[in-house]
Amino acid sequence: MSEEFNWLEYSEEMEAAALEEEGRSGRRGLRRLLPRLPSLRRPALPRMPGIPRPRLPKLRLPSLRRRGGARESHQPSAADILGEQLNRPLEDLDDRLRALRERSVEASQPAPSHQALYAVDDLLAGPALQDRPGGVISAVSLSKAQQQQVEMLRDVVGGAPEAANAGGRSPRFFSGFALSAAPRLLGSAVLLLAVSLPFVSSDYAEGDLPPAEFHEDRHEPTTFYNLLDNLTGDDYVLVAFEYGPAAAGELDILADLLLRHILAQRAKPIIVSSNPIAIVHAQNVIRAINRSLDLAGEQLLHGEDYFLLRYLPGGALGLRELSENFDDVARISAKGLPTGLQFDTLDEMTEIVLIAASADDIRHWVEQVASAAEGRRLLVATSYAAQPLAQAYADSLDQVIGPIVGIRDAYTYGQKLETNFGALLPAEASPQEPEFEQLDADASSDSQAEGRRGPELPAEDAIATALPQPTETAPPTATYFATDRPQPTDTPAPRATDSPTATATATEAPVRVVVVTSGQRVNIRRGPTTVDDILGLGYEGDMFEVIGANGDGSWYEILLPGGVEGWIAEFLVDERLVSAAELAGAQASASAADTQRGERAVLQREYMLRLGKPAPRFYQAQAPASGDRLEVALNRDRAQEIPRLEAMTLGTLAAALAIIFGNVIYAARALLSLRGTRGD
Amino acid sequence: MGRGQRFGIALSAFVAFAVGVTTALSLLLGDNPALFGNQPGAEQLAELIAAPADALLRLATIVVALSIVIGIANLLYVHAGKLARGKFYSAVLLASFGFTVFWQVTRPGDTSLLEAAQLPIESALAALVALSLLHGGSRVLGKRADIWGLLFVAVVVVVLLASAPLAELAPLQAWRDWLMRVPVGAGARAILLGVALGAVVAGTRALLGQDRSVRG
Amino acid sequence: MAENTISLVSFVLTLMVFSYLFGDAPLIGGLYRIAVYIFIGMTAAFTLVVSYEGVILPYLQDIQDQSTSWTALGYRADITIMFTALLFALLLLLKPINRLTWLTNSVYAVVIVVGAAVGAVGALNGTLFPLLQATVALPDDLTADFEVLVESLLIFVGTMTGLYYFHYQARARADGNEEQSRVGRGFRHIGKAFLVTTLGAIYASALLTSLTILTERIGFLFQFGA
Repeated sequence: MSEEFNWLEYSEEMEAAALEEEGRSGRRGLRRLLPRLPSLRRPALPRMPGIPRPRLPKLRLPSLRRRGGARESHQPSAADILGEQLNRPLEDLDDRLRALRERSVEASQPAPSHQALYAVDDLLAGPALQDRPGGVISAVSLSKAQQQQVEMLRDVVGGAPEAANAGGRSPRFFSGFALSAAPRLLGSAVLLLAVSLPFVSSDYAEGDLPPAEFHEDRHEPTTFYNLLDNLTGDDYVLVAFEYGPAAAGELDILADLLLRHILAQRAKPIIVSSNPIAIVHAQNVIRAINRSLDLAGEQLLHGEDYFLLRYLPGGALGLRELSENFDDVARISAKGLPTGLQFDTLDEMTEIVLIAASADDIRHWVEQVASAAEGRRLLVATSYAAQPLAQAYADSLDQVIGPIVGIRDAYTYGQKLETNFGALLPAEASPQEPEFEQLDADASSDSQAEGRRGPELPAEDAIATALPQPTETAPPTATYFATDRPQPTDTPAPRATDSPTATATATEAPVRVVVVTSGQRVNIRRGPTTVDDILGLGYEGDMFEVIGANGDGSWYEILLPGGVEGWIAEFLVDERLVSAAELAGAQASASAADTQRGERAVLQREYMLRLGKPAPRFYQAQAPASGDRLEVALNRDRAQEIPRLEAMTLGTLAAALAIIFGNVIYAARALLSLRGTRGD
Repeated sequence: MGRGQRFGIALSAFVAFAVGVTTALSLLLGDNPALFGNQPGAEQLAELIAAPADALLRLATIVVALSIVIGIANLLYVHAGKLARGKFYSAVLLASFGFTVFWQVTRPGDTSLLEAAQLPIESALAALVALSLLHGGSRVLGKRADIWGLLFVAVVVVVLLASAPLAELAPLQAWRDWLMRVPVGAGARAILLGVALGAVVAGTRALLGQDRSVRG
Repeated sequence: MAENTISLVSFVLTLMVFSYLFGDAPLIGGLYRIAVYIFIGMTAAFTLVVSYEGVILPYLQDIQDQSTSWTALGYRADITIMFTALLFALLLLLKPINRLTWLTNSVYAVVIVVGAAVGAVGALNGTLFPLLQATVALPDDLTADFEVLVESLLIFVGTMTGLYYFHYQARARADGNEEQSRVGRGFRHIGKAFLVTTLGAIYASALLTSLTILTERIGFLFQFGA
């Protein structure tokens, strides 16, 4: 909540900062013992001579110290644990004011972009730039929590980040072309060059593309995908859009994918944010999706296909209000108009998806929303910067799923989406929809480059080649094929139209079966939970033999016609007793109907698990239910994807080398000077 | 300080205390009929207990929203003053403000202004951070050449290199995975727990009126 | 705006910000600053419009509708809340008057304690309990891999010593005393090692994030040029 508040502080704090700066001579109290903090004194920023310190003649700060203290309380930090620390408020105040001055007084510069120190704290707190208005504009300095991180870092590595600026005496960042700026310039030039090369020519392509599936050790991103894949037209998904334009370069691609995935299944995303610019930005992301749909027709409409709720002011406060009074928040759109949504609690959301740039936002969502809506999962997609802390939550809390991180995961997610939906395009793919063809071509050329994907086959051809491949090849071996029914890996695939020979229990005695009663397409899963992978699909009237049930009877274990065992939720079906002949007849006609529909394609992938045991995994290739919007899932603009990944690889290498090189030189210098002192 | 003022301060401290305790209790105990043994009427009771928190949350969010508006007015006021003294950049700020408001009001739903201006500026600023981080990272040992500096640099390098998808660097990826899972996992938990403890302690202090802000 | 115009404006503004790399040269330095000021003005404008349209205006309208209520306390409570909020906003405006500072600060105090209570309750339920629980919990299967056991133990030790390091840091700063006990020092160093590792990883991750954003911008510049 501090961010917004600081709008008010703009002038006064600035003036206070100026006064403080002028009046400060020497350091007080224990601060004398601390190392100087040069980087907080904006050593490296280009001086902006044209901008004098702003003065606000009429407004005067009533009590500087007190105000400093006031700020302290609402951004608590670990330091507070330890109770009274008399020197701290003062110290914080100084730092805060200095930061304040640096951040917004002089040229309203976003300090993080120039100061490693801030960057370090921001990486804990968010993207490089505080994309909240408070962050940059309204003179917000570091929040208390952020400051704690910075101080800790300072204590821990003796000012690793400050080293960036090498003290207040260092040459200014690129001020002119002073000799001492040369290493910095050189480093920057190398980095820029490395990042640019892949855009110039594909000859500079380095590194493998991300895999088409998430690594088998990382189960949670797959679960993330599957959860969204389970959505249907009846589902509402709360999508928290907690990043602004500053993080767009990293998170837009993920946000675009996740929204498309949700929208393609006709589930309705309800977008919400505690960042005002993010609300406008979310509209922009939707607009981009709509633009990609121009050729394919149908546009996404606010109030029908998706909803954009009003801004939640006050950070954690706003989020708590969302979880406590969701019924009320959901009534009003970002434009202040009624949405027509009527919910009682957040529990009515099928999933909550959080796309956040900063660890602080993730923390707020976990603390204020997830902990208050215990029945709901929080699916987290985030930036690299927030990954370490997001991962700690995901590892500790079952409720938190993910995280999906950065553009490499986005690529994998996109591949999965494309495989899933692309495989279901009608074989005589649409002359009216040239974009699909192109996408397919792209996808398969990618796959060849990658050498990991099988050929794209229409379902009919696939059946003919549907023999499982041996799994002894390099993991993850992804041979996949589409059949009308999932097959166990160790048996040759019978034709889908074969009679259900696998139902060996067929005798004269009545057979216990379940009949699908749901009007919607239902999922048959590997285990009795909605998180388990989907083995196949069932439609109204389908009949399956029952072979068991779970403890509380909420799931039936059933036998699929291919001999595969799966689970189906009890509330979707009716239990009956029928004769074996009746069951066989029903299944034959269902299978005929499948063939006609061309649906129920199921992808099967085989993995070598880490322990060396090959274990089959099944993924649903979502059949196009009558209303699924394939075009939403497939019309993505992927032109920049691969060059960007390659640029990342080269850039990362360049950065790592520069860091090694720089530190080796400094270490050598330190060693030499050490020897010099000993010599004396 | 006059007597009236002192009284006012004492009063405001008391009000703050009452508000804080009410909010905390209401949040902790409200909306949880199980606390009252699921008796008939427990639900209404739970709802009633939750009501003060709802009301105070609503109050606080409206105040925050209003304060944003006041703050922006303040920002404009400051820059209008500077403009009067002939500051060019203040003119830029005011013009971009005015144009954006005009755009948003006259073309609801059209986000192309954000896409054309806000997005590139913010992205480019964020992109510049890469350069300063790179520079900072390359001088760690210049500032502190000891075991901690070395450890810091080693971790940075391992994580960076392991994120480059090159077959030659595959062994590093196993290291990185372990680092991220075990020591970084532990450190991240320590940080989160530290921050959470801080929030609880600071919250308690604020409620008890030990915080200066609350003392007026 | 036409797509071409959007691209052109974006291109120019991106270059203006990147001109920062060329330092504070008379003409070029100004370009960077113009871009930053445009950005501030726009952010303020977007924030204003979003807050007004999405929050303030609907609340003002809502208050006239007697059929709905924000809390279980009924319609009257809504009016009281709105009235109090407006009063508070008014008090905030009085800030320049020195003698009434305590009033303004009281408004802050109310909002701050509500925030503090929300933060504390959230931290308790959302982070503190679950994270501690997860850290202290043994792996499900004690006969599991030796490796897994060791890892859980390491995570436990790292978390606890890391917290201890926090604790020590703040106390040392408060009273200026070095820790004397050998055990304490040992703990501290272990904690420090874990935290340095974490911060290193976070630093590298932040670099990756900013690199990602850099590739996007560079890609855009090339795309526009092509």
